[in-house]
Amino acid sequence: MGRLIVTRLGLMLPTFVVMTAITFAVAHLAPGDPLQLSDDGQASAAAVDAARRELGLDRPLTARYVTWLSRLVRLDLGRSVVDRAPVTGRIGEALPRTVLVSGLALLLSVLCSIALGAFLAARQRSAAARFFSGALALASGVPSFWVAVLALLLLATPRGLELFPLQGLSSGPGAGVVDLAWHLVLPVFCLAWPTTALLTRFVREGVSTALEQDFVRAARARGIDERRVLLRHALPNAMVPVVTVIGLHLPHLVAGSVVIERVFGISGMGLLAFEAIGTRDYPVVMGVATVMAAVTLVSMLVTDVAAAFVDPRIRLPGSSS
Amino acid sequence: MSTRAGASVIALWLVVALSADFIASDLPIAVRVDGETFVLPFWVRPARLQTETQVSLRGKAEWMVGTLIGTGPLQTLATSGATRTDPLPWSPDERHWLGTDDIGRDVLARLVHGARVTLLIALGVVLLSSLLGVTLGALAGWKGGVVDLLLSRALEIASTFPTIFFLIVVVAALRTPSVGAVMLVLALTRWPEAARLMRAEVLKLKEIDFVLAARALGASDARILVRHLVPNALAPVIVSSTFAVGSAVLLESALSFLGLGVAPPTASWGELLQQAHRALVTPGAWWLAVFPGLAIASLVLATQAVGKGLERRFDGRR
Repeated sequence: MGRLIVTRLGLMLPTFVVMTAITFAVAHLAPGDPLQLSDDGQASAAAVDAARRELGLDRPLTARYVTWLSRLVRLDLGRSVVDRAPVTGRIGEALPRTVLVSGLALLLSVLCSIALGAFLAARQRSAAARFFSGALALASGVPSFWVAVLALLLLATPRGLELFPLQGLSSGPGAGVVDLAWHLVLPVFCLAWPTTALLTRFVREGVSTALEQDFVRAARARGIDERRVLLRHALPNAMVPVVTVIGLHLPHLVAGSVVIERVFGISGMGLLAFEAIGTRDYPVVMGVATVMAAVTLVSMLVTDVAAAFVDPRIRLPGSSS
Repeated sequence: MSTRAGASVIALWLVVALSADFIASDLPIAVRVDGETFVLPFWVRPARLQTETQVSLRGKAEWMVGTLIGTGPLQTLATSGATRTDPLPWSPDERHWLGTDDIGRDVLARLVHGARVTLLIALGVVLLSSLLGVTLGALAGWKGGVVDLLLSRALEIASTFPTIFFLIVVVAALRTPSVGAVMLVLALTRWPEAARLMRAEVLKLKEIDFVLAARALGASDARILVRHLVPNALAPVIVSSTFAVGSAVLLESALSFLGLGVAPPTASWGELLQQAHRALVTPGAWWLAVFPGLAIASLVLATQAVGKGLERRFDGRR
């Protein structure tokens, strides 16, 4: 297992370089640069040229990429072109917000979908199961940002119920945990919704397949009660696809949902990237892309290892044992 | 939703999209004014009717075949002959069945014309991405070796890397994207699924007797691929493409919602929702949010229902 992880890490490096190079090229090939976009017509041509040289915008693209990469090795992501703040600082502010919101959402949807999926598989014919199946089918087709806008309209605007705040994660400096939780309710719910619909389908499929197999019949024949059969025998067998789906979701945990962050005014990673691209703030765009590429690659590895851990029958390619 | 209901909903939206000009337009379907007859003036745009609208023609015309909704998607208050005096956006009334937005454009008219953009993009995306995916997947499955290795890695990355981030970068690079550009960009993010399915099917099929027989008869690689393998491996791709129409609709509306879709003032469903979000500041305009969302949900759910139906059909086990 150890050797496998080392090989996989070695393979990741070239992939990482390709991924960031593509982002770098696309972002920089966009028409307009930060100076042009912030130009108010006051600066002289010479001053613009000087600023461009200072920011390195006059050098060829490949040279700029190599410089960027060599800085990255020293963990230096550069400074924002717009306000000269260090990119690592900006990401350091945005990342915790995004991870908090999407982490809670993922946790909520995993818990809900395991409970709901197991229930739906065990009681396929009950009225409640039919109701939830219908609700899930509906949920998967409804855009989450629509739900978000409707939720704000109904629960946060003065014309609605005004139960929840409209924007942001805090009512002001010094606000406590209760205030944070109050701000988190709507965004977490809106983010968890589509993931829950997706995951529940996997759990239900997995559990209902397991329930028809011989080892479950054998467990029942031994007189183990139905509850235990479901929770200890059938459910663990439905976990492999769930672990895979969770793993594939990890990059989104860091990327955040641009749409949800925009609706609720949460300045996380999604909104940071969105605004940086608008102003052609290349260092910030690349910083976000780097974090996302790294997490994407690591989560691919973690998913494989976790799947092998959950299901001992899975032999990873390249493992000697 | 049953498969049949789903198919009906899709058909309904297709009809709406195709006949959008006949349902909602600033000019009538046919009109006779000052002794001159104009047919389909919204396509021909005759000089005589340049400054006219269905409202202004109502008094002058000898006869007129109007559209169901008397205003076009871009027509603002100034030209729609409105009589209400309360501030915009207006709630639904007998003139604007689904209300108006904050500059007085009719929501229903924009919804009908938005169906055109949304459906065109969704169908185009699925067609393009399926073509790309099928080609690459079939090649990788058939050739194996380095081609397969490279594609598998690319697939792995493409399916894990957050799509929306990639989309934002590319679309921002295009500044004011056209329908075709949005289509192409979305297609670039949706091909991996088709490629993965195709690769798996080709891997399964390529050692089966009929393929070996074709090879023994001296058929070329290209002929085996195009005439034997691809047609037999297409079923899963068709099923997933049906589902993909729904997700393309969702993705397109998310992009438009962020203001990165087809350039304004063209209406699309996501753009209508963006308006609804902006209108939250002057709250109470529920009609702006409810109807476009319902349209999106109905179309996505319909494609899912049809997808499930096709899945059952192709999959003999169920």
